Amino acid sequence: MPSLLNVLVIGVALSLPVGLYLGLAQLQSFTRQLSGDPQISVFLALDADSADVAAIEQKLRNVPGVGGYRFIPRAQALSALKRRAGLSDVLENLRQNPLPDAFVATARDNQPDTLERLRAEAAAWPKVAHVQLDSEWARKLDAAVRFGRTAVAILGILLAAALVAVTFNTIRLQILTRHEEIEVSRLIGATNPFIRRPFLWFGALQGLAGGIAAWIIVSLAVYLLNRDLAGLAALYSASFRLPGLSLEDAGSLLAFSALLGWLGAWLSVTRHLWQIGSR
Amino acid sequence: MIVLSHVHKRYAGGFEALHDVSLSIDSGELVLVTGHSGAGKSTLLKLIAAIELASTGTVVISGQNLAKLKSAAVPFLRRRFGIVFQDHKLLYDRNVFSNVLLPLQIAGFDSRDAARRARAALDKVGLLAKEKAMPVTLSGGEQQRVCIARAVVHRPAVLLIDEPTGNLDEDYARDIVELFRSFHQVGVTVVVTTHDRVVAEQLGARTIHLDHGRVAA
Repeated sequence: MPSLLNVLVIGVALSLPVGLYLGLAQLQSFTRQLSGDPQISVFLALDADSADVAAIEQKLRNVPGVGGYRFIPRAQALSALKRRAGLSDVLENLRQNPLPDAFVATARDNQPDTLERLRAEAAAWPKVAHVQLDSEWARKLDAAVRFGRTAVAILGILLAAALVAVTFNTIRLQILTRHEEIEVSRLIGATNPFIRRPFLWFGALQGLAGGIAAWIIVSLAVYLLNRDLAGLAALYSASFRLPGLSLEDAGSLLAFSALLGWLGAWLSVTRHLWQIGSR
Repeated sequence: MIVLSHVHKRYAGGFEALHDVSLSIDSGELVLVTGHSGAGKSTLLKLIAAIELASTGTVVISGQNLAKLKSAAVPFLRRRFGIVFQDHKLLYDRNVFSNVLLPLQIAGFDSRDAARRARAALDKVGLLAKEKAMPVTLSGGEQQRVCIARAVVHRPAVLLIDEPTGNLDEDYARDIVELFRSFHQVGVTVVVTTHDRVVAEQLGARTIHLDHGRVAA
């Protein structure tokens, strides 16, 4: 039977990349939702009057790259800020509204060059103080998440190699203790597959047990993190929670861990059989 | 069935265990290989069982030249042999029954049939009552009987027996020799190596005498 310590080592080694992968997958899904519709915020100068607003609205209507827009008056922006950021006490004490009128326009095309051209054009309009590509931060975050996923993949490969090494060494020790049995079995007609079989089963079983341990560790961690995350997200009037492993993902994890255990065992036994030769 | 032609066996360091040995053993024959310690008897058995390869010359078993046999085919050749090792080579962490069962598991016998055959083999050597005993609790003679049961349990065509009476008292040795004769009587080719003259006389079989690795005239 696989030792509890080995199973725990494999479980911890696997749970790290699996947990990180889950977190990053959720973060990437979140940023893709945010960056789905490229938006441009056009902030007007504080002294812009209704005629200026109308002129800019006219320009927006005529720009072919703009799919739609909505006007956010400064008063509405302030009340929204009070509601969302929990800063009502601070904002109440202001003598005047510091926020400008703004248009939030949706671009027809999400190509970076097109968006940048649109941003530059709007910035040159009179009474426009600032133009911001709202999806820019989400794109940067998405790129960072993609970088993180690559890093997790590398970590996963390294830890998978560690799992193979752990199994390799466990099987090597087993072979040493069962050396006589292997020798006698060969002398009375055992083939290499017959000799390998119990070790391969052991390796796969140990890998599978490690995979189950990783599943339990990740599930427990997700449960505990979600408890705290729910409170944190509520402070920002948002809803964000880490997903647990789906049955499909868990099945893949178990199959992969069993396969790695099998591979470690196969390498170990094959090396031993090669060392003792065919006779 | 077993043919050796001009076989030499040299070990690392230059020691020549067999020198230009040529002999043949027919199917169903009972043959005794005699000689002093170090004469090359055990080496001869190892060459026949494909445990070692001849340095030069050919060893042919049932038409198969062992030097040309692929590694993957060696285990299947060995299943045609039953080998009684001088040092028994029992598995001391398994009981008597499991030791005897091993060749049948290797050959892929159905578990129920394998258990029946293993018990029959133990009955044949008089150890059925000790099937659950661990080898370490048995006497040297009993351990050898377990080894014999393991060698015959899969009904091999050839039984190779290395120094069967080395540490046994005379009465026990006589019983063992009779056991080998009974296997020969049912058509099994039996090759026995010994330096014990009593065994040689009792068996009364064709004798090949080895002297310093050469077949004596």
